[in-house]
Amino acid sequence: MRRSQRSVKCSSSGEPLNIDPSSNPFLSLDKGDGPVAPSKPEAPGEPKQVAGKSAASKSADEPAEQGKAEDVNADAEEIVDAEAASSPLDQVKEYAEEFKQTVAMPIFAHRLKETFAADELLDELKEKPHLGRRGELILLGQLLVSLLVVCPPMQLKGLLHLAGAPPSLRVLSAPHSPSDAGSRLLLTAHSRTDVRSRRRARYDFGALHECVRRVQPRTQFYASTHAAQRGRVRD
Amino acid sequence: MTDGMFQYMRHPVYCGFILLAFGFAAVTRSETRGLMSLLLFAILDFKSRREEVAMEERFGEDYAEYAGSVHRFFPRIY
Repeated sequence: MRRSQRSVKCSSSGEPLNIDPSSNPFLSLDKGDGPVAPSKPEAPGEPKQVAGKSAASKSADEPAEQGKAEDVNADAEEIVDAEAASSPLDQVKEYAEEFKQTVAMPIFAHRLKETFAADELLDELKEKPHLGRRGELILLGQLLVSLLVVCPPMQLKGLLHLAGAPPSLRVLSAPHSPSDAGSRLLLTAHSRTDVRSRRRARYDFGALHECVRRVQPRTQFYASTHAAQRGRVRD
Repeated sequence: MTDGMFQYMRHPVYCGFILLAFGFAAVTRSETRGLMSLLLFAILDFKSRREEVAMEERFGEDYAEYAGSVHRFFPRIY
């Protein structure tokens, strides 16, 4: 049903609206030309000839356009038939294969070859004139010192002892007195964050006994001295 | 890039390395680790100076202005 044959009514009142289709471009859509601009006022002598010419050419072109439309419809029907004859899964496979060959493979091949520009980076690294002048040594030093921070080779006390530090600093590297040996062992073990060494220290009765044995003579000495002083006071 | 952590220091990653090393030395009470942390600080300082020269060559006046307003490792300290 053509739009020009439809009766246009007002939505609120239901009365028919008197709209001229030639003045409204949206009402001439099904002519196939899209929105048409409002026609300009024509000159008095000109319009009849032009209108006659256009009407004649339209009537001559109509059969040719109809023939073209029929050809297009026939082609479309053939395509639809061919698609219906082949399985949709086959079409998907063909499309995937085509996509893989034309799009995906070149991209992935390029990425595999040039991941992180590895070849270029290696070539730059191998350039002998610039080798060692771009901060490689600094980077190596940084890595080495970072490793030494994590895993120090020896304690600073040992380093001072090896370096021949002055006596004032050698206090750090001097061996502890025998009476401190057991308590130092315990304190060292307790100061560690390792749970296993804490447990070991807690149940290391040998070290504890050593500590007590070293401390006991002093305690006895102080006790006897204290007792003697008390005796003197009593006397 | 002058926003985020870079608005407080010019080398936040190096600052993190240094703090991590000194913190590890403090937690383990290791004088050797403290010494190595100082060495690491010196190396990173040298490295950052070299990088800043290259950055100034590349970005010119903008980087010089940024370097003048933001400290290298520690905000308001160094």
